[in-house]
Amino acid sequence: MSLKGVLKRIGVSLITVFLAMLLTFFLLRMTPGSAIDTWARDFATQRGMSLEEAYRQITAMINYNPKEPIFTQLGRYLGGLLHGNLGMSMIYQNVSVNEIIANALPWTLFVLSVSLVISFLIGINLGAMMAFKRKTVLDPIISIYAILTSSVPNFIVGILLLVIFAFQFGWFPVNGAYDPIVEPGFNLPFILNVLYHGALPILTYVITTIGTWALTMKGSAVNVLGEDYIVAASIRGVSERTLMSRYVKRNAMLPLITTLAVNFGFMLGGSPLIENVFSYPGMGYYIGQATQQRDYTLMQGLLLVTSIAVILANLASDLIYAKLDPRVKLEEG
Amino acid sequence: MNLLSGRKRLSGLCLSIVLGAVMIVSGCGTSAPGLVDRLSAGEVKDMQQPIPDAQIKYNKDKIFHVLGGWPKPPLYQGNPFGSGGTGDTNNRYMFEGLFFFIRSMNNVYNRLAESSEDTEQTTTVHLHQNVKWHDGAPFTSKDVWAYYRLNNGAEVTKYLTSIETPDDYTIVFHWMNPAPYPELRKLLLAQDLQGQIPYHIYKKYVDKADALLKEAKPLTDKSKDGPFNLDITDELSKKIALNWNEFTRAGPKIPVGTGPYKFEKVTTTDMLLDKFEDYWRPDAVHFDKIWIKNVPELSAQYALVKAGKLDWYDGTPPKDILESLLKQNKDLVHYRMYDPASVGLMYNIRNKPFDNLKFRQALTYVLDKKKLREIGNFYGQEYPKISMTGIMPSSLEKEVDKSVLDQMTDYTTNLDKAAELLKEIGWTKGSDGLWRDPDGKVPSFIIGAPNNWAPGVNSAQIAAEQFTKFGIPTKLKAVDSTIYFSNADKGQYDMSMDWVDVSWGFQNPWSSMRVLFWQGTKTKVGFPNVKKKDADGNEVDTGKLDLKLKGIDGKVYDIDKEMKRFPYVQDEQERRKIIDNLAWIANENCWGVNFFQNATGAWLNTKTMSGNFPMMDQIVQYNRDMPLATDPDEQLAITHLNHGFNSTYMPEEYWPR
Amino acid sequence: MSQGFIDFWQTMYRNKKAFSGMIILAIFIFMAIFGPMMASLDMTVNFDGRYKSPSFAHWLGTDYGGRDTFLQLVYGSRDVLSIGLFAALFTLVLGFVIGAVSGFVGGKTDTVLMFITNLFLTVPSFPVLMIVAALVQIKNPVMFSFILAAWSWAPLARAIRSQLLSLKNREFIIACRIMGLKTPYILFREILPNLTPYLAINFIMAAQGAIVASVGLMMLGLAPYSPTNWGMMIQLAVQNTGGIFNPKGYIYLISPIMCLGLFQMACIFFSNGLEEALNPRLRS
Repeated sequence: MSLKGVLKRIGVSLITVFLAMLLTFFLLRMTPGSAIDTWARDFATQRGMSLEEAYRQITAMINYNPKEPIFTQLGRYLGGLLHGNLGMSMIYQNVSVNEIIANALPWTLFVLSVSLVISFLIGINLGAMMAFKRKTVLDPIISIYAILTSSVPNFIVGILLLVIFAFQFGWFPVNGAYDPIVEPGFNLPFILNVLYHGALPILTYVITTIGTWALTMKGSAVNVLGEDYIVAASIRGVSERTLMSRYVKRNAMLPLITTLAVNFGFMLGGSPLIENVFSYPGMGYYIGQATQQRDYTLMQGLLLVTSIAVILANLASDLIYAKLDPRVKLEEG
Repeated sequence: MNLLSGRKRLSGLCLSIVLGAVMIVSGCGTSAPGLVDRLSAGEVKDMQQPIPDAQIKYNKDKIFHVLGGWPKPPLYQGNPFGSGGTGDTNNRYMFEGLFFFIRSMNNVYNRLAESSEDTEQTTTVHLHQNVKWHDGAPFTSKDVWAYYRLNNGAEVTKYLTSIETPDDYTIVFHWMNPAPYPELRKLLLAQDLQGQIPYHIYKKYVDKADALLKEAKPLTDKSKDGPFNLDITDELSKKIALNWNEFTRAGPKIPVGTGPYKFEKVTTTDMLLDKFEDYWRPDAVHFDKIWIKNVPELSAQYALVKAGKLDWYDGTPPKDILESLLKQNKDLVHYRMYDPASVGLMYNIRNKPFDNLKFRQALTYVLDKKKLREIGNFYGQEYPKISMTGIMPSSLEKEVDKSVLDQMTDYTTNLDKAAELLKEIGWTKGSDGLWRDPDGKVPSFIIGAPNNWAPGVNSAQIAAEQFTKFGIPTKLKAVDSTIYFSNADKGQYDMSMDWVDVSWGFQNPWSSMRVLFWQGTKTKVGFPNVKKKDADGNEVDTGKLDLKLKGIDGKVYDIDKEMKRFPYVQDEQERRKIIDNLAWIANENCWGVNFFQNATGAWLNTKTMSGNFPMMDQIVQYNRDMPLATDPDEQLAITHLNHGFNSTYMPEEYWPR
Repeated sequence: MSQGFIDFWQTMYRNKKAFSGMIILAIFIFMAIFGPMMASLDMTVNFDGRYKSPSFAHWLGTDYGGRDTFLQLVYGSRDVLSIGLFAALFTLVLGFVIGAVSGFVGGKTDTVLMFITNLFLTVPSFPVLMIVAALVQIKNPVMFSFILAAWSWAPLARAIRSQLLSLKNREFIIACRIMGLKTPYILFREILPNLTPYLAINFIMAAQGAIVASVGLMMLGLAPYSPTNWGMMIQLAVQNTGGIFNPKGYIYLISPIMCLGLFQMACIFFSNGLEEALNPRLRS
């Protein structure tokens, strides 16, 4: 692949990110609704004050100027971006968006990328097997498993695993990313603690997603099996194992890599399953919070991160794709 | 090969899931005797007094485990008035007020106030003298003064002229003339759960606010109200707001209160509070630490409750879940209590035909409230006779005279009456079973409800089905809560759901009447406001209620005037009359339907915690599923378990076991 | 043509899985079309009759309000199946056309189409849905499906495109090009059949995803609340049983899940047969 092609792709990606950022900026400000209503209700109940008083106090808390012209806001935002500064949260005025992302992103990145990679690897292997041995019981067993895991709401699986493994057997911790008693830092006890806490969320994620990977992989592998070169190879006496790993799997995996990339980008937005059931920290909480409170700067910042992730992952998949399949030439046009 | 191992893992998992599910269904019993066994065996001694450390069996670390919420770090900060607060569910352990009150009842108790006395124009509060802030500074009257000067929008300041601090432990509140009646004064003061802030930390902002207030002139226009009877100009108001905003950003990093526990540590999922060694009531502290977990998913919360990982849990799940949890953990006990709020539907009188009283009444006769309650919240209580009265239904008999209640229209389900009323206003029923309006059109109505409010959404769906079955096609729309309220206030739905007959602050009939005539119910029903012409001849909405209606004695009343005069009426009988009249007017005008009064509850884990549990002598009888208490002392003790209804440190009444 | 149909039928008939899938699908479609006419659903609350076990009167027992679960599934099926099928169809058509054209034609067309696709992948759905909710009222399943599909076609388009990049350099496609065949002809007659199994599985997943996602649209206020929508039934069952904390409600909880699963399974088995019918090489 030519350097020029790669550069061009990077250029287009940058423009996409920029446009997505602009669109997000304006869409957020066009979104109807008010941050205050629900918040005031909670506030009034919890502090035992009249609703009117709660409204007043909250309005005082959200002290941004909604009348500031939108282009002035945009200008300020873009100015900050140039310096890598995503601005301050509008609601939590002492906290910068960068700081929030720095706190949330590593957890999401860790637990979800491990989950995604494990479930992808198991899933495509199962899928290839299914396609290859279509007449055996493997196919219906995995199909039914996949159907079950995609029909049962994944959080039920999560609760079930939590109840069994965390409560009944006590093998895993109940919640969180690490024990509050352990001091965070780059030391062995902390790292072990983090791995221990991450195990159950990762297991749950893997269990609930391998089925879909397997089915999609099978769909893709069946195409490949029908190709002339496979038939030719099998007539030539290429062993079944080689045929599967060298020819079928490698080729059938291609469209799934694209899907993997897209999923990778999406998942940076957080996973409700992992964050709610296992109260695992992550991006989802902050996005939810910012959306509820219409904290524009925070929403923008978080969504920008996910946008960049989606675009980067797609770019990466394009490049990997060209490397994996020699027939794909990176478009010169 | 990884494929094979994958398969093995799979079948192994399937097996353990099945096994686990079987275990959950059968419910593994705990080996230690449950609460009912212990009570039946006469083992109540350890429940009556604190257990010596050496004898503690199950909670040796003396940690009180609860759930809570807070802005997750890095959003967390220590100013309870800062953005996002410090987690309202946790404030009860770290902060205290002058008084505390229990929201669903009218009781007010002293806390940091040692005593107080009233004269016609003043209330004098004497403070406890040995109270310290968590950073070691003494708590004085200046801290109370600081709160009201800085937070000069606090409701009570509208009724005050000034606050004096003659010495470090005395505060004198000067009321305006006329002053609110004495019981209301105490409620207004107690309403600020935390009527003090550490002056030594916020001196800069308090002094600034005080100086700004001193710039203002006394209020001359009697139709307006301002803090300390001051006329706050727009310019001044901006400066005050700016100062307040700076104060909210001023930290400190961790909360500083006077309460029994001080902040130790917070992560995104856990918060640890540590016993405050200098707490002024050392006898009230039985636990060494409070460990608060932040678990958002309801089902994960149930799992924690079931496993006995929490000592106390706030909330009442649907009936069958509740029963199953009690069955599976014999140490749990659940108490129910009234919520000072009802789930209700409001008719939007801006829309035709809801402007027609008879139409509204007809719809009200259609509803079968028992079914609405069973689906909305089984443990609630329906009151079939009323439409919506502006008063918490459970206290109707206490607050409203019996003769007035007898004169109210009875809206108990009556389909014939509904049909009759519709025919009276020209509606006809077609052969397809659908009603047609006088123009011959079959209507189609929308009920709006906020999507995150399960009791409202679920009961509104049943109401829509009941209307539809009667022949008035109605659909429910569950709308995202961040846009629902503004839509409903603008009148976008034919009917809308919200809490009705609700008291947000203290419980007092005037407080819930305010919601009806001045606040949430007003905007959803769409009561008209007084309109004025401005200088250019444009019509301006003054925001002031414009509602003149016939009262129970046949005279026409200006509702706004009646509401405004209430706080200053010193004679209790006269106050009762105002409420009688307003409640009657509300019920007759049928602006909405009170589906049912909500009930909520709390769980205690008696394995790890002991104490004088409420309704102790009935626990065996009801097998730990406790009904609504009737005895006022028990009601109080139970209501005290709910964090939303009171501001106090709850576990002082319990100890580790 | 008729010979082709007979061949197809015979292949389906011979394949046990495909045949059973077809039968189940036929039952679902029958249920959606005629079910609501044959029995009437009474949603009146009968609280004492809640969580009944299956019986002759209530084939799948009753829900948390004592209403018949089976009849709710039947009533919901028309909307649910049409939403699922239409949404999947829209997703597939958009995804295939955009992905295929982009991959096949390449050059500037590819750049522009992928640019749009990437925007759809990155622009957040919540604000857009809120804005849409303020502007339009969803009145029918087609529109409902269209809004759902708007959020699901983009990943598919990317996956299709990446396959096209590989396919278009195969001998048979190059041959077609040399023969001067038109792009639409190549895409639909040569490439589409090659991707059928992959598209089929995506169709099925998209249908299932749309049914579950329709609950989200209802809970944002874009469409009227429908308690017989299978996704909503699952959500209500979860809310009333806490997922696993109410043993009485297990059958009620499992019913809509199984129903959704069965529909999906029928689709998958049917599509397996279809693969073989359409791809003669797989038969051996």
